[in-house]
Amino acid sequence: MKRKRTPVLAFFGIMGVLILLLFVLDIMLGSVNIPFKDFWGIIVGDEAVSNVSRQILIHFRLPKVITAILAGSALAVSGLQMQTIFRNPLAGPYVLGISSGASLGVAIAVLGSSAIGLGFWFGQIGVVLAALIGSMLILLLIVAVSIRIRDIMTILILGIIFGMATSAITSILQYFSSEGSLKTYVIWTMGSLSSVNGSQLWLFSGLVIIGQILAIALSRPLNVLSLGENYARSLGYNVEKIRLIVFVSTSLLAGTTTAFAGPIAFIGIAVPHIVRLILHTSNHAILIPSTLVTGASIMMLCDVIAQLPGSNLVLPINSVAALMGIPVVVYVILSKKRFAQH
Amino acid sequence: MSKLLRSYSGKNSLHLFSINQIIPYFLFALVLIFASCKNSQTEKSTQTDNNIEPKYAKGFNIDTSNKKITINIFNPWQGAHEVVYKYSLVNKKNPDFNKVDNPIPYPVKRVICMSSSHVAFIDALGQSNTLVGLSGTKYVYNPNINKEIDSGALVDVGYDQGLNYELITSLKPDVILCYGVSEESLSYLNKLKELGLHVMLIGDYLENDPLGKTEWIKVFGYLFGVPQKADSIFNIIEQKYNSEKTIASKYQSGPTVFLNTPFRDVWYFPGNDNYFVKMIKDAGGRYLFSNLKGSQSYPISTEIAYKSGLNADVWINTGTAHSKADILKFDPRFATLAPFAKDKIYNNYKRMNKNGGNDFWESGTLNPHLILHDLVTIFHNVDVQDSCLYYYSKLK
Repeated sequence: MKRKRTPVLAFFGIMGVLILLLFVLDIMLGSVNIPFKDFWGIIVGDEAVSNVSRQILIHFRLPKVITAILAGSALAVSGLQMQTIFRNPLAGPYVLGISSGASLGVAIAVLGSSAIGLGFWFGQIGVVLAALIGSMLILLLIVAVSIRIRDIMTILILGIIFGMATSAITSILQYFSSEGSLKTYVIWTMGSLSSVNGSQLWLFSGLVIIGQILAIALSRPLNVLSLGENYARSLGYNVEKIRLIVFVSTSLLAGTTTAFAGPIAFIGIAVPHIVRLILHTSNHAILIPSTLVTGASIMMLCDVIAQLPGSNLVLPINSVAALMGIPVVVYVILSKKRFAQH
Repeated sequence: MSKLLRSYSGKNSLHLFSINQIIPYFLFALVLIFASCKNSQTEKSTQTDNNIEPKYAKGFNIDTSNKKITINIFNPWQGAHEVVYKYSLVNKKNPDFNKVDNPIPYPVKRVICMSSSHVAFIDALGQSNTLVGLSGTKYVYNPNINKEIDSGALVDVGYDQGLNYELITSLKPDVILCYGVSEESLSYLNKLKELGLHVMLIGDYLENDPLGKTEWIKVFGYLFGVPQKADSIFNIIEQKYNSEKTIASKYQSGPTVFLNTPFRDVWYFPGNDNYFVKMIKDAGGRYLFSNLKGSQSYPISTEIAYKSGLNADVWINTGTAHSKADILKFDPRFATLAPFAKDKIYNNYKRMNKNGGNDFWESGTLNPHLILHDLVTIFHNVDVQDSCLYYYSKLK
């Protein structure tokens, strides 16, 4: 590293302020105009705050912002893990087919009844469970394969193939389903941060926190792995075991996020690159926490944009995230050489 | 309980029939006969220009000049602009059959339908035996049509892009009645035309007036060669609808009305010109999103929807939610909405078959007066029993 490093402490200091700022911004801005004094009133426990403001702030905005933080950090960290494990700059949380697995689960739950008479539509929590089961099943398949196969590229290819297979089944379900359920499914694929409610938030945050702890604990082995599998083996690391734990962590992070918020693209690919560009480091002990905070803040920023403050409309979060992430991915492709140097 | 709460049970109405009640109908029929005689005389005198312009519908007119019947269909899909389809109803044996625009064998004897609302029109005209194919037979509610399906006389021909073309051809239909969702849907129509089949676009679902939708029965009347029957059915429904509207207009203040359920965090609310919004107004309700222009639906954020619903008086059309527990499965936050607490949530799912086929979407186009009656009943009564409603049920 010839270039001067951005001091890590300064980075975290700035991110801390940014997160706080975006948190307040994301809570304040939305379709319904809420005066700042109501927001302040709720924080200091003023009883005189109007019921509408209270309901919207506490039951809509707060869970939404927390979901944005959880989803953004989870996707970014799992993306980083995948990029390191596969040593591929364009890998992301979904390369293992986790989102396709989740999509298949949701497709069976939402479209199944009208297509094959097999569905079990029981509201939002049903969708969440279906997505979780779908992504976990794909993970089991990947784990089973990775125990037998040592070559990581084969696992990557199999992950993509499994993803394609589930997409094919999903297409068949879509093809035969009724318009109403098709719409429910399509809207799910667009992602949403605001459909997670209070009680689900506990489950969501619990699973994501376990995934994050695993990720942070894995930072040293990941450092070694990024220098090559053979090198790691020569140092006495059990590469297969590390991989397995990384897969579990990724599926907890990305699988749970997909289950609760739908598939959200590009955040997972773009954020690790943004962090690398700023910090010029490949030390995962620094990269993982910084990716975590950057992912959270970028997701909140995406949500502020998606809310189109002052309008009655909300844009699908997936599209906003893609539009934010694509320039970064393009930059990475164009300067691939530079990535290889890191 | 208000006198509005009439029963729809068939038994009751049989008991109530008496000679006294039949007399006015008899007189009315006589008047109709004289009127129609008079009409046919005037028709003869102005044979050159004989357009039948619908009273409410905007999507069609019928030209019967020079002993020919031409049905003009306008803009038959969403977003169509200045599109006209001319369909000529010609006897198959007529040597000119293939020389006219879009010939349709007249009168049609074998019909394939793509929409369930068409089925209701056909059944109302007593022509259900002409149906040979249908898209989505398992969603049919109508008992007459279900009998045909069970006997095997009526088969499922598949969906939009998944149509079973071979089956359709083998059924030898005189006409396939379709609807266009977008310009792209024309591709499957062209495919059907290539197979030498006669396709007709029906745009009843695009009408912005409840009676405009119903008025499409006149098109069906001509297709089957029973235009007078279609006219009389329409006139009766029109009169019933308007008298229901008059009843509703006598109430001083109507309730505020909240609609639909969200697709995740987006609610779709129809604009002010939408037919259902018009029915809410005709029933004396106050639509909460009357600021939305046009007839299309707008995606509205959950926050805005929630804010409006918080103090609404009534909540209707809750989609797949058939109970209050279903609503909570959608989102537990909806429990704080006023209609939830006051038990004023109604959905149009009373008449559904075991596969989820809903008669509201099937015969509702034909029966706007029954929908309006339901809405008036719901809007202006404190406690409504399900037995007083036709399409709607209260969410428990």
